This record gives sequence, structure tokens and C-alpha cells, in this order.
Amino acid sequence: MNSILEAAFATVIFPGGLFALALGLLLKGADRKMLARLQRRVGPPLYQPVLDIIKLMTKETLIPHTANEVAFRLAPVLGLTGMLVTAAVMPIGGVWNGVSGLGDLLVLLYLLPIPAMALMLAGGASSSPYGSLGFSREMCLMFAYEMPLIASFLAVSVRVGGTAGSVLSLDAIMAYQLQNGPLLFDPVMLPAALALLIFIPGTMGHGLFDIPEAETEVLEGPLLEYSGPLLAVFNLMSAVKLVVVLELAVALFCPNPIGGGIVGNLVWHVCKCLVLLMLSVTCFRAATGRLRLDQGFSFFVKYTSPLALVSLGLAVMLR
Amino acid sequence: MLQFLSKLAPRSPWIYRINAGSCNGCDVEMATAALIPRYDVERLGCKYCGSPRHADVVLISGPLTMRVRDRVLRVFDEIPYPKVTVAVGVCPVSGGCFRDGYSVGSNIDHYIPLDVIVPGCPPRPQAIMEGVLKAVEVWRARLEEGVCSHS
Amino acid sequence: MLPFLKIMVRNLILGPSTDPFPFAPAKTPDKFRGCAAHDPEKCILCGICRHVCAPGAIQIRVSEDGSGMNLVLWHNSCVFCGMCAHYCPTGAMTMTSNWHLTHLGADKFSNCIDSFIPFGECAQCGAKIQPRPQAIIDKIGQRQPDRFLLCPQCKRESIAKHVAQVNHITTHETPQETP
Repeated sequence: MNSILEAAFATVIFPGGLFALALGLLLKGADRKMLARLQRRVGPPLYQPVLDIIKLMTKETLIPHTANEVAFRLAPVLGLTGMLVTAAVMPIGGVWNGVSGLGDLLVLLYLLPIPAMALMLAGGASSSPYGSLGFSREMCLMFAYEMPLIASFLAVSVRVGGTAGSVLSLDAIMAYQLQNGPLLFDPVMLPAALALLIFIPGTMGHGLFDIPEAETEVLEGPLLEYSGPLLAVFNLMSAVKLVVVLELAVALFCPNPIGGGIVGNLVWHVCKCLVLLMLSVTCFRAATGRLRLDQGFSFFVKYTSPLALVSLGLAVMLR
Repeated sequence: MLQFLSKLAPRSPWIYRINAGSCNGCDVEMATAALIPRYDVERLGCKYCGSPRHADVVLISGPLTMRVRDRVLRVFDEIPYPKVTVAVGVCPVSGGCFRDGYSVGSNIDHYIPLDVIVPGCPPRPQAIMEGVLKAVEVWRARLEEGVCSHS
Repeated sequence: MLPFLKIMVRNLILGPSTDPFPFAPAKTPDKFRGCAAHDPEKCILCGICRHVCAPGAIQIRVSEDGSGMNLVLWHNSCVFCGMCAHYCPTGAMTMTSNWHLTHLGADKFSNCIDSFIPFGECAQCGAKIQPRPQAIIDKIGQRQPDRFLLCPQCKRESIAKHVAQVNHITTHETPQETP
């Protein structure tokens, strides 16, 4: 009973649910503002994504009459609930140790592609040629960026497990880091950290990898036919996905708390997420354009996966 | 509750540009009004979106030539309510320099109701921003009247 | 990669370079060509502005009571080229630097200049002639100031009398009898 209540609280209020939504929208606003400052513009206010969601709620919903209406309406809802559940199992150093028994790297590997699946479902249900183009692009890119993700997961779990074999539970990974210092300062894990840093804009679709939702190429791809509240749910899903991915990177490599009680650790965690956001997403977006699909695919295969595999190899050898 | 939300909604106008056969002069000015740091229109919460389904404020430029008329009307129908139409330049209203041309039809107002007009050939980027601000006011008035979900 | 980092750091240090419009007034250059303005006191109804207007935005029509003409310039058709101001002989058409012309769609036909220019009167017979404002008198009427304010009929009679006087031709009301 206790664990059910705990799981419900995690999914609805903290760290999933309302907290993840609020943090996600704040991070998105900070990203837009920082991007504007890097381009010498003023940029929108920090709470602009909240205003966007509110505005989308007042628009009417248009559904193409050849679209599959059930899948059309279901796709964003599936994506958002999947992401909220994923955010609920993320541990935060010093504040929340994850829902017991559920914080597992394998579970995360299944939960992380949910928003990509939702986008693909949306593109397929849209019955528009741009939707299907976005569908195929998203699928292709997902194959590409899952590779460094799995490789760095394996590298971390082998390193943490040491002689006892690999460890897949996030609790154990956090405990190891609380004991031995963050994995970020471990020279063996540095390539894996870099691979994960490049994975973040790949999965969010920013910067070099703005491929599935390219505005000038496929006219927003899977999201082309969405309007009103359904689009608002997609935006919320994207915001929570940002939180999940950043918290995952923080939890795997530097979850150490700063020791100021719950509030202090929470603020420290948000600061870490913010710095990681600036480094991985904003600077990328400000500095680079967009790759072609085959170039993006080969970028992940040729440059990013070998980094993570180097880490994995070193971790196995130095076990 | 919905009233309060309607007050906040016009603070994030998403803009979609339709080029109805224009000479691209006004399109260049519309592009500069958003992208370059000098006339940053993102301060007002605006964003250029790639799909008509995401748009709130529609910027139309150009006289409605015969070839493009049906397509412009189709794209315009895809934009969900509540929407505000801004005619950029003098071409949408009177045809400008292209009036009485063989491919230029009557003014756009016969097909699409124009809410705000920004004269100029092309208008200054600051004038286009004034037009967007006026469009936001019209949008606010429409939301308060309750014309949200009108088909 | 490195040049980008330098540019990003430089941009962060320099700060935004955005014009403060619309939260502060925008700077308008001195000779900026905004909308056109018409001064009916100086207009001589020559019609050059209507002839050179590129989009055909100027219309000059006789008014309903016939005592003058209406010059209508529709701002929604004017492309602000300035040809009318360039060619206007008296300077009645000028280009202001006003570009704040945004208006609602319902007002589009009232967004125009509508000036009424009354016809002038012949100094001798009182017929309707084109108006003779002081500017045009100064410009081209200085050679024959008294003949300048006459209607074409009276002007022809005045010129004929002058020519006859200069050439010592006597003018009779009835034709001369043959001797």
C-alpha cells in the first residue's frame, strides 16, 4: 500500500507530474532566453512556454477527415503519461531516491523511446505526406541515437558493478557515486559522458539533429496537423522529456548533493540541470544548423557510439 | 477561469506567413522583423511556425494572383480559430503597382476578411511590428467576446 | 568549433543589440519617405501627380456642386515612391515621414487624403479657371502679372489687342469698307 501511494505521489506531484511539468517549462523558457542572448537578442520572458500552453488551450481542434481519429487523439496522451511515469522514477541526489524497485536502467531503456513512439504514431495517424516523412525520419534517428545511449548505460553499469558484475539499478549507481565521487570525474567514464551529452540534443531534436521536426523541410513533420489542446499536450510531453533526459544524465554522472537539506539539494539539482541544458542544447542550437538524415545517422554511428564503446571497453578491462 | 486564461492567451501570438503572389519585398521585411536581433519580435512572445495549424496571426502579402488563389484559400481554411489576419503592404488591399494586371484578381478582402492593414511598399519592420501588436489587440477583443470555438 | 565559442562569448558580453521599439519610440531617419500630404492652397490642378503616380493612387474629380475639384489619394494604394512630390510644380504634394499608418480593416477606405481645391476666377469675366495660388504666380506669372489671372478667352483677347497695338493695326468693331 505504501509503495502504491509512494508511486502515485511520485507520478502526480513530485518528481513526476506537477514538478516535472513546472521544471520542464522553466527549462524550456530558460533555453529560449539563453538562445536569444547568445544571438544578441532580448528574447521572450522566462515563463513564455507557460503562456504558449495557455494559448493553445483556447484554440479549436482541427482533425483531418482522412486521419485515424483514435490514434490522432491518443498519441499525445500516451506520450505525456509515459514521460510523467519516467520522471517519477528518476532519483534526485539527496532528495528522492526513486520509487523503490522501479528505478532500473532496463526499464528506462523501455520508457525513454515513448515520446518518439508517440511522435511516430502522430505522424502516421495524420494522413499527410509530411507526417509520414516525419515518421520515417524519427524512426531512423531513433535507431541512431539509441546506440550511444545503450553503450553508455552499459559502460556505467559495468563500472559501478566492478568485480561483482554489472549493476542496473539506479539506486546502486547513486550509492556508488555518493561513496566514490561522481562518475564525471572518473577519467574512464569521460567518453561515455561526452556521448551522453551528444545524445541529449539528438533525442530532443535540437541543433544538429533538428531532423524529424524540421520546419523548413517537412513543415513540422509529425506535428503538422495538430492544433489546439492536442498540440499543447505534445509541448508538455517535450518539456517533461527534457527534464527526464537531463535528470538521467545528472543521475548517471554527477548526482552528488551539496548538503543543504531538501531545498538546498533541490536547488543544486535544478542548477545542474540548467548548466547541462546550456551546454548540450542551447550552445548547440545557437552554433549549428541542421544535418541531413544520413549525415545525422552516420554522426551517431561513426563518432558518438565509438566514444561510449571506448568507455565500455576500458571499464571492462579495468574491472 | 476561462476568462482569466483568455486574458493571458494573446501574449503568445504564433505567426504564419502566406505569400499570395507577392514580389517578396514584404516577405523580406517580415523575415527581418523576426529573425534579426535588431527588431526582435520574439520579445512579444511571437514565433514563426511552420504549419498553418499552429498559427494565430496570419501575415498575408501580395495581390492575390489567379494562379495562387485556390491554394491560398485552402491554406487559410486550415488555420484554427480564433485567428487574426494582417495584410502586409498595399498589395493585398488594392493591388499596389500590380493593379489591373492580367493575372491579378480583385483585392483579398473579397475572399478573406482582413482585420489589420499595414500600408507601405514594403512597410518598415517596425510598422509590421505595430501591425502585429494591433492584431493582438483585435485577438484580445475577440476572445473577450467569446468567439473562441467558432467554425 | 572554436570560432563559434569566441562569437558566443562575445555576444554574451556585448549584450542585446535590439531596438527598444515598441517599448520606446523608433528612430526615423530625416529624409524618410512616409505617407504623402497635399496642401490645397498651393495646388494648381495640373494633374501631373495623377499622371506619374505609379500605382494610380491619385484621383482628381470634379466635385458635385461644380465649384472645384476633389483630389483623393488612397494611402492603401500609395507605394510611397515620391514621384508626385518630385514633379509637383508648386510643392503642394509633399512626402511626410509618417509611417505609423497601421489601421483596422474596417477603416481601409477612410484611410485617404481628400482635399477640395476650388476653381479660380478670371479677373475680367469671372469664368472658372484653374486656381492661381501665390506660389505659381511667383514662379511663372511674373512676366505678365496682369494677363496671368485671366481665363483663356480673355487672355487671347488681351494678347490680340497688344499685338495690334504694337504693330499699329487699328482695331474696328465692324470690318473696314473697301475704298
